[in-house]
Amino acid sequence: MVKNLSKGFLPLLLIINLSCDKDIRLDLPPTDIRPVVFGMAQTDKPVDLIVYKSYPLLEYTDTLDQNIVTDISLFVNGNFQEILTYRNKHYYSSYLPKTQDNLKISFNWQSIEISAESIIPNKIKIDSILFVKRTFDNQRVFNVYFADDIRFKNYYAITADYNYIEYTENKNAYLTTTSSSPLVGNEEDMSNYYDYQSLLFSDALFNGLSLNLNINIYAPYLNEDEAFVGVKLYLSNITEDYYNYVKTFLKNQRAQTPSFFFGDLEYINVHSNIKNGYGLFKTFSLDSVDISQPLRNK
Amino acid sequence: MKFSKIIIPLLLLLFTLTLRAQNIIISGYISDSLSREKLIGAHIWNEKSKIGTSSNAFGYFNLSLNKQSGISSVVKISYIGYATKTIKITGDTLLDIVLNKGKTLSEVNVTAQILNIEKRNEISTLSISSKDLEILPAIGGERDIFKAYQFMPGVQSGSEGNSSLYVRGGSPDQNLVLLDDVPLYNITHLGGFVGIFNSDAIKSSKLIKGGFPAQYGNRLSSVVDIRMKDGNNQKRESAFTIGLISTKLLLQGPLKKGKSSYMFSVRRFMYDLLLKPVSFLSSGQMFGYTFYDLNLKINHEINQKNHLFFSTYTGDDVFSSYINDKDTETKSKFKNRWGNSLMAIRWNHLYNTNVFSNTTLAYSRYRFGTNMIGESTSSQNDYRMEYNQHSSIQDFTLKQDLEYNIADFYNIKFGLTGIWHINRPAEFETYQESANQILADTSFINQQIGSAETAVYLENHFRFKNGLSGNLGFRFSDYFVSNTNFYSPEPRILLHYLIAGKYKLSSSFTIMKQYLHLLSGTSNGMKVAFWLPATLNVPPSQSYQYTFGFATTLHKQFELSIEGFYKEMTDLINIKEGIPFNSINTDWENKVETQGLGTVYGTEFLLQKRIGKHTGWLAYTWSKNMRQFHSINLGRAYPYRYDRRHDISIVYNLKINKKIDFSVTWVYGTGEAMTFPNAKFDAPFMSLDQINFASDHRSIYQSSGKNSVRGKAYHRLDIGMNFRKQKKKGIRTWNVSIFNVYNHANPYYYTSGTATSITNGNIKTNVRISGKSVFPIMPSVSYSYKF
Repeated sequence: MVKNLSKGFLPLLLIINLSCDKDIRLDLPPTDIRPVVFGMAQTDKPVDLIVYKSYPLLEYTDTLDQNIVTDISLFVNGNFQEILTYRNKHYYSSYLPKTQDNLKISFNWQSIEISAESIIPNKIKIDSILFVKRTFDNQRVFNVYFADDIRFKNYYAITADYNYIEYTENKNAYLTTTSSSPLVGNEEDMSNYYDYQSLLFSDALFNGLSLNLNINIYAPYLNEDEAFVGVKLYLSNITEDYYNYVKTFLKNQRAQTPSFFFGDLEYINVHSNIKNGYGLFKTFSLDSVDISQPLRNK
Repeated sequence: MKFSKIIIPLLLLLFTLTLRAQNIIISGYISDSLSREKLIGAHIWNEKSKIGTSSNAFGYFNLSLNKQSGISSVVKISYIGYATKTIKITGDTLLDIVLNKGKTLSEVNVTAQILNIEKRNEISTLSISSKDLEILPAIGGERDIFKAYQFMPGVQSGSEGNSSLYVRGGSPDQNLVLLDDVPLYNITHLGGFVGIFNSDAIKSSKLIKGGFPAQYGNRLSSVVDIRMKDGNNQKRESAFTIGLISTKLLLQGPLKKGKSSYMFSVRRFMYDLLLKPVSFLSSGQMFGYTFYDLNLKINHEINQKNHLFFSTYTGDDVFSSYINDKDTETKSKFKNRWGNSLMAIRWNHLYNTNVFSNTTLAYSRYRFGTNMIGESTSSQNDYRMEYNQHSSIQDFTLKQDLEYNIADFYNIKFGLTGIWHINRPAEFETYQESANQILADTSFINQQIGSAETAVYLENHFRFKNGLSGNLGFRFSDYFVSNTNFYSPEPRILLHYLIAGKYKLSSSFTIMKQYLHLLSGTSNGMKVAFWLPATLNVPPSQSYQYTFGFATTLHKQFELSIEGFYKEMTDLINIKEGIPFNSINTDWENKVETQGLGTVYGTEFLLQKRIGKHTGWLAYTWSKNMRQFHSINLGRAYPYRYDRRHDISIVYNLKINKKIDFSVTWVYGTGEAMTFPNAKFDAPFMSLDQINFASDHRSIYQSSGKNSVRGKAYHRLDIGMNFRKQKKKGIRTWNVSIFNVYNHANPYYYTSGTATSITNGNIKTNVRISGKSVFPIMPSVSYSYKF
């Protein structure tokens, strides 16, 4: 019997091994080329947009060469306002928006209407900022007080920047928050990542209340004497679209990093408020406080 | 107070019914004449009154016939593959009925009367007997009850070759898999390719996918009720099988003839015995994988009214490696072990001919563990590192079930269950030491969670002469965890209406609750999963299912059933987008998305022939299976990974003669749903006051949506033949099977990569998705001997 089995098994095992691990080609749906719009609008500053095309998955293209030059209309509260002016690959408005303006931008691309609409949120003022303690040479802890507007579901971004005489432009400081955190779920992860060196959170935990936020400001790469020159703290009241964009953007970036044990993470789409396109038309209102003076001597 | 308000009227009602009924009560056990193995689901039928019943999971039945109606109390007892027996009853009787197997094919054809589908008081219930299983193609010599169910409508496989069940759009954790009344958490060996039971040890099985009786709970999508053989209590029997995948042995026989018996089965994957020494001798490295499982069941009949059962199962998969690298002076050991163990003691007691009781005391455990040790043997570079990962779930169960036959048209089942769960979600420990200095000694431990689940249930089975029958049931369960109670009323309504004695219309509505979650990775790569308990932050899931069905028997031999279903599942969980799966070792509650919604609906068609020379079935399912989470896929609904619009199975068996049978199966399923990007753009840096592309930008990959890409359709043809021969001391069987006869490359998993091509001197790079197929045409042969 053993002889019979071995006669049968060996050729079978050979067949199995030879034909294992086959590649099955699966073609993706064609690359979806659409206009990409990134724009921003805040109170008393011109609307600023850039518009270009998305491109095939593996094509390394200078995005700005893909710029779309077209007539982009700006509507304010449902009324046509103007055609935006194209200058240095940006589109600008002459109109300076006000809080609660409903802004809509719109243009046609290959007979498809591309549009985005967003309301400029109310300005939320920083009531006060109090110095708490110095943790390291280039780190300070503050308490920031402001009152949430109960009439709206608000989303916030707190940012700080600092200057140093050798730099020509302001640098973003890193921010973290401690025990009195209003951050829920993975909002913590959204902080201090890439270009969003800010604390982003919704008012879910303090709707309509005053918030006392404990913030650690960290100015990297500067020693004690150099740090905290020209430090400003900004409180932005942002839109839900902007909040969701950042949230999904971070997930999207992480999903591009393979996980060692358990395979790649799934690709995650980035939120967009551009109808028939990609990108974000963000609107916000801003309040800022210069905190250089209290810091300098602490 | 509330309790007495409900219970007292209920008892009064039962008492009234009992007084009113003037019945002859026939009860007893039905068993095989040779082995005295109890027969589950045998039918007892009184033709004149059109009243019948089936034997329960212990072979016990209880039938009331109305004396006043003057009906002659002649009952027929039938079971597929056995000669039908007719018995005349004159008064209340407790019977011990034995049925003889049909000796020839023609005899079986003639005598094997089964209760037609339209007369069965059930919906959405499938059964595969050990006989059905014996004649299906055995891949690598392994017959698998779960793979057999995947040929049925509404039941799908996951990835290629996997034994996990996806029932009516549910995930594998939503199946309550019971082995002799005890739940099991892992049902596969060998990465899902082989089921965890030795099929020789299985007596019967059924799969319920809707219209759930109230006795079952704590899972959303299905119940798979598997019963092991009790053991031949007349004579000793042995069987062994050598196959390409495993070697198995079954022993059974009497401990005391006619009173007590045992059944013992063991199965082991054998290749590691060869692979380990060969790899070690040739390279100093040792790699091995094995699985084993062991079943033991002992039963003892104390007297006609008392019966004791003890059963135990243990099974593990073990992957291990040992590398001794003399060049780098390093050693490493790796061991990964996972599996179930269970133990149960059950006591059957007849209080009187009307009341049957079963008490179960059980323990069940599933564990998953990884241990990795690396060390340097060099005196110059002394270091040691250790890594451990562990996850487990343990259940201690006490259950009491009672069956009470009240009238010829009405009987009830009721009972209560208490389960204490101890759950250790994923834990991770790491230790590093170098030059006698500890560099790391860290544990990332999710707290052990204990929880208590209790439930009471009542089932009201009725069958009226006007054709209306059904089961109106109610289950009330409570889950207690971290000082919080989750109460759940779970109505179970099942109604049938028989038209012209031939056509059955059925409808059911059930609510099911599940107090456990299985968290799976979401990538397109390997599939790993952990069991997690429901907590205050991750609440239990719930399902609401409606079914509508039509069933009839055509030409006395073909059963036709068509069912439509709609199922909604709430409070499902999923790992949060962007969270790596291995990070759930700590703080898992904050890494899962909760409040998920699942919506599944579809139509199932089954045409089946269960008796005769030619048997088999044709099954087709059309279904749509969607999921929706607030923070996944931008909050939009998306297809479930195993959303399979079309699923077809054809099974054909032919008994050529007494010695040879032939079977062929063909399956087809829509490809699995996956997520891959199909667009790319750059996102600029956006500071507070400007959009600055020059400063920095990042590439964003965008897909058409989660699970918006479809993999290749799955299809496969298998064939198998059994050659039996009577030898001096027993029967030998050769089984020859061919898996994937036309060698279709079905994808096991998908990876993405790039492909470069040159067209007119221009180099072009494209994204390419490759499915990897690992199961080509696989002929196999197995040899078994039964004596």
